[in-house]
Amino acid sequence: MGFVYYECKIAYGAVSARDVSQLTIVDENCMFPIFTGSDLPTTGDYTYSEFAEMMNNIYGTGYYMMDGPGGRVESVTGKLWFPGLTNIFGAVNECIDSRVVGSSQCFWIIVPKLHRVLQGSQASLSEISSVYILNSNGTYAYHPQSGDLSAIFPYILSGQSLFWFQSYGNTVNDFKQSSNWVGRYTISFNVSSPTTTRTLSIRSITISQNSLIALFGDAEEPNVPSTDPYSPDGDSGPGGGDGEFDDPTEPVPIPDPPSISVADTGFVTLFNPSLSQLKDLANYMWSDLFSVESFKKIFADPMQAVLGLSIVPVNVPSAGSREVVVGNMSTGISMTVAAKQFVSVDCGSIIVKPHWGAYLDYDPYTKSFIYLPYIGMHPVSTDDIMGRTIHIKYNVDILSGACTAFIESSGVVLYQFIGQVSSCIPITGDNFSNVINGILGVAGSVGTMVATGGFSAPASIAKKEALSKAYRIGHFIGAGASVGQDIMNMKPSIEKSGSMSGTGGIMGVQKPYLIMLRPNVAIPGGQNQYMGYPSHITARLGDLSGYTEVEMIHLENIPCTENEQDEILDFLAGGVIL
Amino acid sequence: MSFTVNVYVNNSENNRVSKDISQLTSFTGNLRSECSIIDPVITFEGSLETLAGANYLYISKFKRYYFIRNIRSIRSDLVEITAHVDVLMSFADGIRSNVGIVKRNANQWNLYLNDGSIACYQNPKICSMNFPHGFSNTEFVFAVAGGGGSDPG
Repeated sequence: MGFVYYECKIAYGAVSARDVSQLTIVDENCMFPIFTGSDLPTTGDYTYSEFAEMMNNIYGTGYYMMDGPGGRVESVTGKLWFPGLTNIFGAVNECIDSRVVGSSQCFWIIVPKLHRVLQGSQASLSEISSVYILNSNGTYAYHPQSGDLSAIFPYILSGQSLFWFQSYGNTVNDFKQSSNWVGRYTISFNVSSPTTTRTLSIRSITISQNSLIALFGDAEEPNVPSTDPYSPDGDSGPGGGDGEFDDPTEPVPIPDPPSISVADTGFVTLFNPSLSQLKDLANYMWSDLFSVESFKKIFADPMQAVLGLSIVPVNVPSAGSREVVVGNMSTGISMTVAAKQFVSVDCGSIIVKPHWGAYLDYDPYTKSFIYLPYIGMHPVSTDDIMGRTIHIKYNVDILSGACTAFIESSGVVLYQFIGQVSSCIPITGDNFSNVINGILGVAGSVGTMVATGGFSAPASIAKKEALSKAYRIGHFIGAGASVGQDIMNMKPSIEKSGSMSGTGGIMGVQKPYLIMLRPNVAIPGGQNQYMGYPSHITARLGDLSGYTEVEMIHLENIPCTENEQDEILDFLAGGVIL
Repeated sequence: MSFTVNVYVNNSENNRVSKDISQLTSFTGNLRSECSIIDPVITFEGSLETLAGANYLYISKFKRYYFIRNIRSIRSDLVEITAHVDVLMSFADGIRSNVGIVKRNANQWNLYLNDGSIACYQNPKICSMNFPHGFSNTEFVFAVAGGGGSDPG
């Protein structure tokens, strides 16, 4: 393709380090491509934009060029996109985080083999006096220690190419801000002529054969012009296996409840009354002491000032006691004021341990459901929770009764469900109608859900399928059918609860729990003796014992005929006893 | 070509690499006619009763062990044995020295590999696990318009 991906390493070490072995490697596997001029489609004089357009037309957008040190490039500043930018700068960032880098430390990008390319270029490495890297804002993001670059070039020529960046003061902090280092960077080389040092511009780029062009592209293969897959050459090629083999997992913790509260506005006051205080208030409001006439100056109905009375299943944090004022009417009754609108309820954690210690402990063989109070029963993926610590926490709004339940597994919130925890107490006729209508609505939805669960896999159909599959399993068990999966998949799915919110929820189970339906394993005696268990390892057969089936082997050093070798292979594939 | 045939009783499974065998008798004779090294047919002078309990051979000249497939009495004291090479026992050392990818084994296995070979009953095990805490308290919340908010004043 005209360019080669080079592996590089990110390291840090002392400025004075001249031996790569003195550096500490942070990232072993950064990649970037180098495009050599001999592979360029043409030569000539281009402006930067012309050249970029040409390269984009050929290799797709997202690739930007710069010339490398050397080559017949009169102007050497170009835009670059560090391939695997996240890798390189992420590693540097990690370096910064893990060790404060002072002025005596610098970062190194070590590029083995690059020296071969450099050696083939037409310019002398000693012409380069310094390197600057600019961020997209045009300010210096990073630059090397000025001067003395030539000191490292012997190491380039000896097989270790180095880009050498040293942190300077605030640039380290700039560098840590992702907005400063994710994006396009411009790199420029100051080239010293025998008499002058000049900073090269991007006005003119002259490219000749065999010049060196470094393409810093994204770490993906460029867009290759489509080829005819039916041509004699076909279009298949080698590839794959280039994963990064790291599982970057960042914690996604359960959020704290919002700290803001509607009560802070002064428009609403949330009280946490005792039962006797409520009785006193009710007596007062239905007595002659409560002056409806003066109240009506503000409200048409006294109950308009009462936003709600509800039962919530949480401990309401207290902010002291205060007299209840309804509208502008003092009642003379004191109640505890709620300190917060949002509170959290931590239901704790459980550890889900494998039961069989086998693939049967995971989906789809083991099915899992989590019951959440005030929300209901929800299926969860067993793969998500098996072998992990499962933590449940609710954030609750005591004003509206809305709740969000978070299911956290190993530090990551995997599931979030919403519900309603409060049970409204009707204090007017309208209130009561609303409550009843709400309950009827919930009841209707529950009935629908249950019925749907049944209809989604009608019992008669499920039974017929079960019988049919059981028959097949009984007769073809030796064919390696996925027995456990068949059994679990042919079971009908039934809803285990409907909505459990509000008043319904307060009468339900108040602790979350996990239900697991595990396959009931039927292992005949001596199964390992007669048919073994899956192994999938590479081993010398002499190191094994007992029943053994071989998946693949290339027999060698056996003085037998071809027919005998075929027979040995048949035996090994069918199972032998070692 | 003079060669010796050791006759055994094999008590092991046919697919066992190293057989448990006990010698019954042996014959020495000459190979007088064409003979396959893989499926030899050998005629012995001997008693059928002696060979009736045999099921295994070793022919040192061929360097191979054989399963006896058939024993046929030709005439008095003349017995014909049809055999087939036991490639496992004959080349046991060579087989053991080879390295390959093992699909299943009796002792070295990983049950997290899903090959669907574990049978299950129709009735699953149902288990439940309670979380340690939940909603354990109920309180009233009374919300009114105005009143100064949460400031206790």
